[in-house]
Amino acid sequence: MHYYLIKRFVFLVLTIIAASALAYFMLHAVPGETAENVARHTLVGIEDAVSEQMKAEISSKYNLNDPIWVQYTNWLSALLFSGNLGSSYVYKDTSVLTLISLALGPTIILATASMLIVIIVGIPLGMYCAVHENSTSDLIIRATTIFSISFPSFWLALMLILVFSLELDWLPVAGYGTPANLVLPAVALALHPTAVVIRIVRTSMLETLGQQYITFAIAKGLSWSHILWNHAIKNALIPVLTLLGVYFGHLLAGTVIIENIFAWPGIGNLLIKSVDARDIPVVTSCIVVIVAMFLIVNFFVDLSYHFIDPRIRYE
Amino acid sequence: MKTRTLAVCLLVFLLIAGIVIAGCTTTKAQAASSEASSASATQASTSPKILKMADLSEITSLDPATSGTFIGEKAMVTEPLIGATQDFVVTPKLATSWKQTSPTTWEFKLRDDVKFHNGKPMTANEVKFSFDRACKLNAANREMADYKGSRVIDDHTIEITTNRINPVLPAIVHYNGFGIIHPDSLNAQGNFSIPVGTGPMMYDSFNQQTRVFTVKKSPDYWAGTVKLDGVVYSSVPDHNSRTLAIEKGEIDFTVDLPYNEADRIEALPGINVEKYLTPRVYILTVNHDRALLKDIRMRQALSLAINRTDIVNHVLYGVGQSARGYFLPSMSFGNKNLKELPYDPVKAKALLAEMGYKDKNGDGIVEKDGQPLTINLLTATNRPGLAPMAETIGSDLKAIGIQPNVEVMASAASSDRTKAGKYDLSLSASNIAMVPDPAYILPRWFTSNGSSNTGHYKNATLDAQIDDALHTADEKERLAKWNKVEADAYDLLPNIPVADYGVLIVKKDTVQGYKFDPTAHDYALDYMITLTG
Repeated sequence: MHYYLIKRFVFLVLTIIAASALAYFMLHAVPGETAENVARHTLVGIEDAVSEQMKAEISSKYNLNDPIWVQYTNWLSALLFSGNLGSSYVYKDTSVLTLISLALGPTIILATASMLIVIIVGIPLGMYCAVHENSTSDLIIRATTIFSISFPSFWLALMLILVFSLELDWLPVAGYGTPANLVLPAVALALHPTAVVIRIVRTSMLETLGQQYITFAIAKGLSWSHILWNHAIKNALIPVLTLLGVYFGHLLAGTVIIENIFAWPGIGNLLIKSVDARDIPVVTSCIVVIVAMFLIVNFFVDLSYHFIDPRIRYE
Repeated sequence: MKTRTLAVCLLVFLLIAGIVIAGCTTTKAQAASSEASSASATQASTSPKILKMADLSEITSLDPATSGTFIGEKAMVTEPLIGATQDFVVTPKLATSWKQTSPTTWEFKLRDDVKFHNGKPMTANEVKFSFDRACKLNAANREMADYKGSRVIDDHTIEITTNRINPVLPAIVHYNGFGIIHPDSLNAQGNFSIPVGTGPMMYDSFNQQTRVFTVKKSPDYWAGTVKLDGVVYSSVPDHNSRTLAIEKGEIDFTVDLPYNEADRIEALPGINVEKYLTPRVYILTVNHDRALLKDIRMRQALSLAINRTDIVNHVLYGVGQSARGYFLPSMSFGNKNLKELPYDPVKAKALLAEMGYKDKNGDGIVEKDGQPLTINLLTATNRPGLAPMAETIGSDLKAIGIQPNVEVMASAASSDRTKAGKYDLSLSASNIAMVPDPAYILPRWFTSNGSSNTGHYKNATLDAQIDDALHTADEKERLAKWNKVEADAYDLLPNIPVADYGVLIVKKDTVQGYKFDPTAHDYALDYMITLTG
């Protein structure tokens, strides 16, 4: 077990280094000069004022004239040895660490809220559909899931705003800071994964209910709810758990479009703005944080298998 | 044992997660409390008059020296020495008068009744501090002003020295990058902290997380009574969300909504849409390193092929107008005799035929020496009108027998391509009066070594004319010379103007007293604006 943990930790560090290097070098491979991008995003509305002198000063200030590998190793060593993520090229008054810690909170809040909706709605409905296989309600729920899987989330988000903000006037259109602001983005994000979870839980549950040990439990005369909650669900949830882990990782990775629509100040929003402005320290640091969160969540998902099914062991 | 290890691991994870979430919750609580002040102000908008506005761009800095135009033009916190009228004539603002005392020095007399938001009076010392800082921190300011230094003559007189003769310095310091701030704007370490200016609004709060910025009314503004109690600025980057937010009434004022939405929004009760021209022009930069485009007949044919009226009506939905010269009709210094460039595809085809381009194989594309005539047209995504306009121009070119190759890319990538000379035409929306004077853009575009002459146009006669105009001190004579430069360039078409840039101002009917400032960089607010109801 200890060996397994050490192995996973080393894997985590190596993946983060590889991902940061990839982000760093790929951003430099994109056409367009970094200094020009930064200058254009500094002088919003008067981009024409960007001069060669200004670009030269930006390049010199942030050492953009150094070879890329020198810039990258400087950034990485500052991160590894002093935990310093550098300073942003565009948000001149803020360090990258501050920017990321400010963006991480809204992202975790949004991802957790969406995940709770997925779990609270998806798992019970999936079980219900399995138990009432091919009933009218099963058919209606499955048809609805097809609807929410098929429509893109940005369209659903706008429809939610139209109905709940504009028509019913229940919730605000966009913004951050109150619980009411959280509802629409969380629901918009949760619709697609909830539909998938309903279908996976249903399929997995049906498969489990067809197993011989369930038939044996029925033959033993155990109550249906006892069979469902004590025997069937644990086994049926293993594939669902993997899926939830992946979805949660994705949600933490920032959902650019939804954050953009709802003006939610999360990490996806920060990432897309920084990519646009070629704010390399911010982009690379966002990638590091996102990869780390994704891997940590999946690590704990892997560990949780053991609790659900003790036959699964890690060596 | 293994189960215990796993249990410990899970416990540790939960603790870490708890700490992270708690940390984030604190951040959120701080953010919420900060935003609460703005929100409470917002909700209680029946008593205090708080204007809620949303923009596409996020506020990245509040420093006038480096943030461009936001803190002066939109937030109304800082002001420059010089103002400008609707027809781009410079007027007194924080300075009452100015005169050129030698070829390289200008003297500005300052108002003696202006106070900063910290209650301290504005003197020449703060003006010197602001100018030194603006030119030190921002190469764009330094280069435009050609700033050498400044000298305080007395409390209300300052002398500014330039490296070379600069007859348009007053127009240059009209730009908000030269906004005047008090040294209290810096913290003990000398870093910029909050803007302490002289404008009608003063700093209230800035939420670093949501980038929501609030300003409140300055109690003793020198120019008059400020009608609003405050303004809340937020960024809603998604066009649809901004449209829905003003429809629902969450914001009072916004800009840059999709052009095709203008009529629909205008029809909504309680909202009005206004279209204005801004000092920006959609223009085709021509690559003069291509032998093909050096021939003036080819540039004329390209210009004749473009149906500008259709572009304005169907691409810009009326937000803009066909170009008549290089400047807006409202600009006092523009040449008023210039007319819209004609649309005449028949004449364009005749010019191509005269150059030897004919469609011999009947495929609709003209050829010369067996080679079809292909024109590469590059544009960027940074302004919404550019990509559809490039596509339309492409189809206009095809109509006269030119095979278009339209490419749309990010602005920095497009800039890379133009620098490398890998293009024929490049469509952009260029600012023509960042400084309200013809001496700003015409030399940049048309002199052989002009900083914006990316097409490498070379014309010794035009160079000499521009040099002469730049060194003429008499105002009337100077403007006449610039008008001649503009007219000659308009005939030679070193670059091809397409349309004047427009902006959509969308506001609720309750917003009163708004007067569009065409000299602003897209738009500006002022102290006369108010809210009713």
